[in-house]
Amino acid sequence: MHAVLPLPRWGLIVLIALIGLLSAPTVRADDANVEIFTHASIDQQYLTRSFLRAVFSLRVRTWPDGQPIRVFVLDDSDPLHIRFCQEHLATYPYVLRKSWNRTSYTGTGLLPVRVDSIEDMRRRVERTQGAIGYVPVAPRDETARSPS
Amino acid sequence: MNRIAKLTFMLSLALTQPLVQAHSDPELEVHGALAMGYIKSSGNNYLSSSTQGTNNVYEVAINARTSLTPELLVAGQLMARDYGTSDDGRMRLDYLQLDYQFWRALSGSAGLRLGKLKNPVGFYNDSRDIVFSRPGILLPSVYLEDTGIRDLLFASEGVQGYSHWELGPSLSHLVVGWGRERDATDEFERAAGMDIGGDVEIDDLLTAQWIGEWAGGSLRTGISYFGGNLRLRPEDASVLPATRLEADLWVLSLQRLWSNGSLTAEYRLTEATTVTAGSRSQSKSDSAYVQYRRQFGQQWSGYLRYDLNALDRNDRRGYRAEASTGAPRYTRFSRSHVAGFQWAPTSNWGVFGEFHYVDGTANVRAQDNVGRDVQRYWTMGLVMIAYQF
Repeated sequence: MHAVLPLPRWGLIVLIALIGLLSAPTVRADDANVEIFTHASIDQQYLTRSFLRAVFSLRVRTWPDGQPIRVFVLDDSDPLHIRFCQEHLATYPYVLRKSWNRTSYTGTGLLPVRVDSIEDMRRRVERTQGAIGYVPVAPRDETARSPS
Repeated sequence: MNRIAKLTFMLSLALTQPLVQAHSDPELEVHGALAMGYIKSSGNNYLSSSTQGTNNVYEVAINARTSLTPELLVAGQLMARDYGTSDDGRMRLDYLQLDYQFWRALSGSAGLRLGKLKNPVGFYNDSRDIVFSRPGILLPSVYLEDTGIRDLLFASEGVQGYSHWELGPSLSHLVVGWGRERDATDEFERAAGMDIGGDVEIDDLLTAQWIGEWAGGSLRTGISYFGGNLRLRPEDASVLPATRLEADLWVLSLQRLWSNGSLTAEYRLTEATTVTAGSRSQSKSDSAYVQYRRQFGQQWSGYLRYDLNALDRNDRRGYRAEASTGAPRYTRFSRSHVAGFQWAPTSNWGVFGEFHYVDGTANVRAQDNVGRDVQRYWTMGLVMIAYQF
């Protein structure tokens, strides 16, 4: 029996798929700045970049003072979420999603709660002990608290 | 689970999606995933008794977790997986663990896990069963995906200590684990494709993994160790002698992440000592892959992988084995060229496709190709659709 080498046929399919991928649109963050938004009980000294990375990658479950952490996020494709990942975590949404998937299927942490809108984010974070999320920068909004 | 049942389950998940997302009670989290796939190979049978293609491929998982206290998390997952001839679709307990995080500070944390635990080997072993958390539909051969002994590597009943801490510009993750003795007869018989006429037990399981991150996690490197003994106790020692296999498995991992892509490379070295009927033999096998993944916006990604697998590290091209046994040398290695894509229209849904062009048959299971000659060059196409909530 001779070796089967149907590479040209499959190669054409792969080539077409790759061309399709190359032509896919790229989602970009908009120009709105974003800042951390927490429940009033959270000490702002905790909001260092490295601890925020630990919080949003779900490595820690409690704040240093013992309060349980509850993470709220927008959808992966939301421009504000993309901006938040880039500006505050120095990472990318797809990396964060992989990390959350891994957490889900290894049982090593509590997953973020996805909210549908910025208004919902504000409302849920304000009402939940130990909560953290993010909102667009709003200089006159005194309820928003950002890290120093 | 037949096809109609699978479709019904998937449809019901989709219909309940708004309810699930609206459920935000932090006291109990329930998540899960369902994936269905199709595999078609040419040249050799792969996870099937023919090259006609098989849709006997699915993964179903449901997991739940709750915080008993802020420091104490309990989590478990039920899983059913059918991958052609390599798994049987039975529902099993994937993990069930108590996780006590006793130290937390701005610079790190530490804790203990107890129960049935996932073994951390490489970047992907502890989340290998769900396509959303794998680097592709099929894992690289570093993870022994084709050998049928995945269950032996996947989880163990025991205890793990874990920690992460910052030191200068780096972030370290460390996991050290021990697993108790357990019966592995079923897994071993499925891997061998036959009734072995005895019991198989695994003991002295040790796992350790260190992963370091630099530049905010955009550069990751790691080293993993997995070791244990496997004892075969036959019912009739005159037919099959008692055998002990001492295995040590090492994995080196490296990953670089960019805004629109990642480059991942891993290497596995397996050292095995077999003691049977008073004789002792040693073998070393190894495997490596490099994969480039490119993100095209939030929804699309594509990847290319080159995967090498050698059954004998000292005879990677198989010449010695061919001279001594007469078996074709290409049965001793496999070199896989893989191209794949993922389309994620939402974070819940994923459509995956993958094509393999393979030189060598080290990753072809003999029991799938009984009575036929294996072909050195062969191909495989896989598609999978998956939903998670």
